[in-house]
Amino acid sequence: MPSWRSWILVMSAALAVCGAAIAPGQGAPAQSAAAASWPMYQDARSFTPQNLWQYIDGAADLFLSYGFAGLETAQYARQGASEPAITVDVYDMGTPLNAFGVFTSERWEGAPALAVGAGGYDAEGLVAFWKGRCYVKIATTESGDDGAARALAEATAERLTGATALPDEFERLPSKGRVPGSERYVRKDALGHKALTNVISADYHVGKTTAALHVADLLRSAQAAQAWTKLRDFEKRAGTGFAAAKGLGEAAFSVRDSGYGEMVVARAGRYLVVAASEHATRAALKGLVKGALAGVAEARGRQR
Amino acid sequence: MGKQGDENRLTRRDFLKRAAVGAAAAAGATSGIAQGLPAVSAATSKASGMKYRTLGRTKLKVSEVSFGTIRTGNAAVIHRGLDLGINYLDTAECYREGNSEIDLGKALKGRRDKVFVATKWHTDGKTPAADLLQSLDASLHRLNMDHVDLIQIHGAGNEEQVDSDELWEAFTTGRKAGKARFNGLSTHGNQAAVIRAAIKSGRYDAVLVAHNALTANNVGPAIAEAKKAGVGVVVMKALAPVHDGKGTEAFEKLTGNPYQRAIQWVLNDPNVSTVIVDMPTFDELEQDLAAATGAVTQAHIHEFEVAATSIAASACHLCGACTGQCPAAVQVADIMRYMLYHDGYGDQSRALSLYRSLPAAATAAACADCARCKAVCPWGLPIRSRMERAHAVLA
Repeated sequence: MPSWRSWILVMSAALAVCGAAIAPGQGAPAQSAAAASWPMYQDARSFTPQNLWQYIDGAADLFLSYGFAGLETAQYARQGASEPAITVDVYDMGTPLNAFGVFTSERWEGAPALAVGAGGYDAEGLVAFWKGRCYVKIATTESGDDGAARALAEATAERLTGATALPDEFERLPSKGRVPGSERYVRKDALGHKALTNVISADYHVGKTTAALHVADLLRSAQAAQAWTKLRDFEKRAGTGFAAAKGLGEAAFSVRDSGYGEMVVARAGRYLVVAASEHATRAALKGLVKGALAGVAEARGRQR
Repeated sequence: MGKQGDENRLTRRDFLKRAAVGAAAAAGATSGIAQGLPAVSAATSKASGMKYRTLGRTKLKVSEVSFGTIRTGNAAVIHRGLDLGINYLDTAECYREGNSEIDLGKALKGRRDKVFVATKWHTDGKTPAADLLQSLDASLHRLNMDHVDLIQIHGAGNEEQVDSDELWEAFTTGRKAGKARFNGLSTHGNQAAVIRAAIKSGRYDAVLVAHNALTANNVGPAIAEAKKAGVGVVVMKALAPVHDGKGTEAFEKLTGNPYQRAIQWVLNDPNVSTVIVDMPTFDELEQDLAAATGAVTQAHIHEFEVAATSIAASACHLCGACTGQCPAAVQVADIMRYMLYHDGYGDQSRALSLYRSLPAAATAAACADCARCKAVCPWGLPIRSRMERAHAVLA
C-alpha cells in the first residue's frame, strides 16, 4: 500500500501533466507521524472538466463556473483499517483568482482559520485551503484523525507552487478599514444580477458598522455601460430614494435597496463599483467608492 | 427541532395557539392543524399586483407565482420576491445537497411569519416513520425553523408510496409535534395515478405536480379532481414547453415572452393554486413575476397552446405511460425527465447526479432494444434512441 509520501509524489506528477501549479522534483515534504500512519487506500484518480460530474455530482457546476481545469484525488485509511477515512482533493482552478473564488464561495462561516497555503480553515471534518491556482479540500469521515488531515494539508501546501498573497486583482480594493479575511470573488450573477460578473468584494469597517464593497471587471467599457444601465434601471424600479451622485467616476447613483440597504454605484471604464450597507450612511459609502475608484484608476493606467 | 433564531419567528406557544384557533375554524378538514395564516398584508399585494389563490383545504392564501429553490438562494433576490408579493417557497432536503434549505433559512430570518415554506422527505413506501421524522428534523435544522408549513413525499411515482402506515405515522407525529402543518406530495411520473391515489386516501392537503401545456390531457383532469376534493395544487415544470420548443418556429414567433406565456398558461387553469419557478437572479424574478401581473388574453393562451402542440410529437409529456413498462427494468420515465433537466433547463449537474444515483440495472445501458417504450408512449416518441443518447450524455 503506498504511503502518503508517495501519494504526494503521484499528485505532483499528475498535476504537472495537467499544467497545474505543482512543480515536480521539489522533494518530499517533511514527514508527519500522524499522516504516516494513514497510508493511501488506492491509487490517486484524476478528473477533467468533462467528467467532474462523475466525482462530485451536484457541486460540479460551481467548479466549472470558476474555470475548473483538473482534479486529483486520493483516499487514505488508518493503518490496519479496511475502509478509507480521509479524502484529499486538489482542484486546479486555472488561476489564483478562480482558486480563491471557489474557496471563498465554499468557505464555512465561522470555521477557525488555518495558516496553511494562502489561507484556509479547519472545520469539523474538513480542512480546506487555497494556494496559487489550486484549491485543496481534505475531508475526514471519522473523528480523531490524529492530526493527519492537517499534516496532509501542510504537506500538500508545501508541494504547491504559487503565491500565498491575495490575487493581484484585490489591489483595486482599498486596504484601509478592510475587515481581514472578508475578501471574496464571485464570477457570475453577483448580487443576484446577471449583468454583474467577475466581481471582487470585501467588507469594511465604517464607523460602528460595516459595509460591503464590490468591484466588477466587465472587461470592456461597453459591457460595463450596459451593466450599469441595467443596474440603474433595476434600482429605479426596486429601490427607494434614487438619486444621481456627482463626482464619482463617469456616472454614479445612490439608492436604498430592499435587500442590500443603502447602496452607492459608480462606473469607471470597464469597472462598476458598488458599496452597500444596511446601516452606513450614503456619505460613508461614497467614501468607500472613491477609494475603490482610485484603485481602479491605477489598474486602468496599467492596462493602457 | 430547529433553532429559535429571531424574535419575529413564531414561538412554539404562538404556533400552538394559532393551531388551536385554526383547528376550530377547520371543522371538516381531514388534516392540517392551522388555517389561513400568515396573511400577506393588503398593502404588499396591492403594491405588487400579485394575486393570491387558496391552496385547497389548507385555506392558505398563496401567491400565484412562488419560489422554487433548486438554484435560488440569494437572500436579496428572495427578499425582493417577498416584497413583490411571493409568499410560498418550495425546497427539498436534497436540493444543492442541503444548501437550498440553509440559504432559505438565512434569507427568511425575520420574515418567516410572512411566508409559507414547503420541504420534502424521501420514502419508497416502506421507509420507517422514524427515518422520515429524522429527515424532517434535519430539514428544520438546516432551515433554522421550528416548523414547515408543508411536508411532502419527494417524487412519488406509484400508489404504494402514497399510502402506508409508516408514512401516516410520520405525517401524524410531525403534525402533532408542531413541525409540519400540512401533508403533501410531489410527483413527476405516473402523475395522474399518484394524484388520484392521494385524493382517494383523503389525507393529503396539497400536491406538487409537473404540469404545463404538454401535460394538459393527462394531468389536467386529475388536478381538477384534486381541486374538487379540496387538495391544493402546486405546479412545477411550467416552463418545460419553452425549453423543449426553444429554436422552433412556433416559439420564435410567439407574441410576448414565451416564459411568461408558459406561466400564464398554467395560471389560466383555475384548478392551480400556485406555480413554483426557480428564479435565482433579479432578472428572472422580474421576468417571471410579470407573468402573474402582466396583461394576458385568451388569444395569447391559445397561441401558446398552438406552439406547444407543434412540438407535442417530439416532446415528453411526463404522462408516465412508460413507467414500469420496460421488460429490462430501465427507468424510462425518470431518464426522460433527467434529459429535460439536461437539455431543457440546462441543469446538467442535476441531470448527471440523478442519473448516477440510478442502480446500474435501471440505467439506459440495460436497454434490450425491444422498442416496447415507443409502443406504449401515447405520442410514439422515439424513446429508445433517447435512452441511447441519455446514456451517452449522462453516464
